[in-house]
Amino acid sequence: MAKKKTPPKKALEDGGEALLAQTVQNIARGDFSSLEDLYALPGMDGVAPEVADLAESMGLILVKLEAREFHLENAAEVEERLKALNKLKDKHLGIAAHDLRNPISTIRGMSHMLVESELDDDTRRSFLESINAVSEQMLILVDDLLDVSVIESGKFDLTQIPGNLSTLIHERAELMAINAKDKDITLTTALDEVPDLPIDVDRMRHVIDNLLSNAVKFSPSGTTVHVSCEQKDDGLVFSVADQGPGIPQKDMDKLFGVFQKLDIQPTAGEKSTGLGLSIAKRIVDAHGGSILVESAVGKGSTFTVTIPIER
Amino acid sequence: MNAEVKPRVIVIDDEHEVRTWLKGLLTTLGCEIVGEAENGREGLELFMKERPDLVLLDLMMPVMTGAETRKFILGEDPDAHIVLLTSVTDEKVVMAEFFAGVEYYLRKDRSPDEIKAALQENIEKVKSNLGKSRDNE
Repeated sequence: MAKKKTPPKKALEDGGEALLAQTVQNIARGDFSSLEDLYALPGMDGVAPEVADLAESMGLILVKLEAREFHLENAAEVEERLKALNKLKDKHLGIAAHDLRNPISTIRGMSHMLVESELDDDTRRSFLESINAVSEQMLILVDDLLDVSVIESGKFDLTQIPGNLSTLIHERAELMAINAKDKDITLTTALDEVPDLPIDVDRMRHVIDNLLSNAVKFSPSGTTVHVSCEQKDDGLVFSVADQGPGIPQKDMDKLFGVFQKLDIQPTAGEKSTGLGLSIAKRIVDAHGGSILVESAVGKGSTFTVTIPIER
Repeated sequence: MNAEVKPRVIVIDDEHEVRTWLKGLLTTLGCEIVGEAENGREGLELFMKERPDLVLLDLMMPVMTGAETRKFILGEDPDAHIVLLTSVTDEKVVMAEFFAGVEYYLRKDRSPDEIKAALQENIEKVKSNLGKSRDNE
């Protein structure tokens, strides 16, 4: 402690008390301006350093408190977001568990009978075929679930390399044409020569496969699915058109939702996870593009994807 | 003692493999499968055409839910023996249905032995009812 020249008490008695009180109040509001006046009081020069230290410490406390308040506000937002994501995850898990239960019960029931009961050859064969089919379904569901959870958690990165949409579509359409033939559905294409574009080839393939397989799944025998690809203004546009039952207006909103399955059924009893379109939309969005659907009951559906060339 | 009667059954469930499984199981338990349907509307039509002794009806189906279908079938025949097929996640709906007078339901996700036992119970009940109505003729 420095040697005082004038006792501080005396300095304060000279009207300094009021100033001190005011200064303390000011500091509480983060205002350090009246400190100068306080120091200027006769006799204060002895205690000025201590006051200065005190003021500095109080100032630092204030700054830290302010910073903490700021973080607390952010924390509340973060908490809200985490709660919402957690709820979404629980909902998805619930639906996934539900969707997996039936296949599991079926496999369990059938394999139990294969072991325990006397079954005729036809029944035994159909049970084994079903167990096979159902296992495939479950695998697809689990894969789709992993996809959608990666995409929804926002952690999904595109690996973009120059790719050709027309070539990719042609390749997938050729494969799909085989499935289509089994249902007596004709797959036609009109794929223009288009420029290469940076795209995530694997993911785009997934989108194309999903649109093609939906078209074939929901089309009745004897109809045609048409796929086209062309350049329009500053984007590449490809579309898949079917002559299926069409989508009712009331279902349009949920079309790209997760786990949404509509009332219309695949025409040959095929399975649907309800995840395909939601995954496809997210992939297209991530490419800066858009996916639209034109449909009416009894008139078929056309899904159109636009990917901008400049991004 | 009545001659062994084979209960006539229809299975209404939107999943093809579940129907395959239950048809197989019911056959080994001595039933005759007279039809199957993949949604409530078709199931109702089937019921009216075949008038089976036992109906296995899935709760969660598109187009017309199990609950609605059940109401329609009971409307057609209040004595119809309907076993609702459920899964643990449908529990709340089932409880609601119970209070609405559902007598029989079957959890598809129970163990195969429990499912078999539950079905056998229902089949015995149907057989004894058939026996009774035969006696009354």
